[in-house]
Amino acid sequence: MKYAIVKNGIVVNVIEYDQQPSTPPAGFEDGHIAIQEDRANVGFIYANGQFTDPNPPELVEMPTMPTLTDMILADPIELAKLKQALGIA
Amino acid sequence: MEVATVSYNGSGTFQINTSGQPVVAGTVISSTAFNALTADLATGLSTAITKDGQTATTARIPFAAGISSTLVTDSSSTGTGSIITAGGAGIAKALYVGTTANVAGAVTLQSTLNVTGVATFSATPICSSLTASSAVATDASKNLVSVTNTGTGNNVLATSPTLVTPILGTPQSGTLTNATGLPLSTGVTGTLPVANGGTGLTSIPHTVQVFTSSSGTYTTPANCKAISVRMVGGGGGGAGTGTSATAGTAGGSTTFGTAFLTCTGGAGGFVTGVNQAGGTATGGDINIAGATAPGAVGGVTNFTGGVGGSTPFGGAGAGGCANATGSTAATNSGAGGGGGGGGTSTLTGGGGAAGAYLEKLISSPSATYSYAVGAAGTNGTGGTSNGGGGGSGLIIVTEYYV
Repeated sequence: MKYAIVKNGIVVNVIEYDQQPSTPPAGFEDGHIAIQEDRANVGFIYANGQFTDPNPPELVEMPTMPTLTDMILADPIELAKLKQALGIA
Repeated sequence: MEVATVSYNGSGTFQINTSGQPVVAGTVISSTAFNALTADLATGLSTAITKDGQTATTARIPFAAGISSTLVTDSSSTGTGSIITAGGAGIAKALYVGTTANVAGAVTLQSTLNVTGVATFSATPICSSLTASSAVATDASKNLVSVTNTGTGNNVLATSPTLVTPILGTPQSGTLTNATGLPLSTGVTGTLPVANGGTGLTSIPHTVQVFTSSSGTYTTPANCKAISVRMVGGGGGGAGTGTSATAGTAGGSTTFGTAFLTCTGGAGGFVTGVNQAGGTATGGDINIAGATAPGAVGGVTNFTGGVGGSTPFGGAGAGGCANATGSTAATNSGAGGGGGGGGTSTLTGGGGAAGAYLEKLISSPSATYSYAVGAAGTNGTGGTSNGGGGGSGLIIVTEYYV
């Protein structure tokens, strides 16, 4: 299981242990605690039993690729070619 | 002794024939008596030894007072000297030679030869009691005896001998101050201690400790002279796709020592088109940043999810195909997990970035080091497909004792 290593309310590392480690975990100095958490990243804030990302990633809207119809309708020359091919010009 | 003639009494006394003897004045000389007398005299004189050597003796002549010769001619052959004998000389007692004794023939000594002067052998003496050998010695009774030899050439004396390719066996002792050319690969036995510039070891050992998870304290083994540390941070998890997709989490940092060696984990794959950076390494002789993972791709139907970032250990997770879960990175590779595959009109999941990698050779290492192995990033989830988990970190410590 993954444990967030927290010091002063900040996740300083994420380590996998077979069982709940001691406090402080082996290899860490006093002031570190290990909290079982699968989705915390280093740098997360731990407060009130919750982990939060202080710098949540900004969602970027991905541009939607235009369809073939949209591309033809947007180009008068291509639209004329299409009408001529269909016999409706 | 030959029996004497009539006139000799057998003891060497000549006795006048008494027939018609003695005569007195007026005795008529009888021819018979006279002739007998003269015959006796002739016989007696003929039997006597003549001093000029006219006759040869017919019997062994006893010389009760010895023989003295005034002949001064040296005895230098069988024809010169005071005594010449064709049959040899038998000496019942002692033989004394005043000057030089020359013996032309062989001499057979049947008793002890006591030499008080110097014995000079112009020819090589042969001691039949000895066996063929190139050296002789004396035994406890001071007799000459043959000794067994080894090798060829000259006999060796104690001081400053020159030996050619000798095989010395196992000398009782020796001082090799001036010896050169000793081949170290074959000429020595035992182990050269550290105090003499050696290692005190019979081989060049090294041991390896591998840490695949958790944290703790590494203790440098006794007599360890150096350690080589290779380590990688945890890889980020791949992002999911579809409804309520979540990003993967970052891998944990792998550390060795306090603020000494650090490989941060790779970032988790994201749900939009943002590439995610790999971890960074500090403190190593070689510091390799984790590979960046591609962000999500949108606008293309059923596009494959982003592949995870790889490390020197490989193991990156492949992006999931359409609607499929991304692959989990290899355990302890530090690589990123693959992003989930996109579905219809959905973004693909971004791959997880790789943890950083470093190598460090530490001479004269400290007694202990704290360590922590970064956990793998958790995969993101989503309504269409999930990402793959990252690869956990790793520490490999190779310990050298020379």
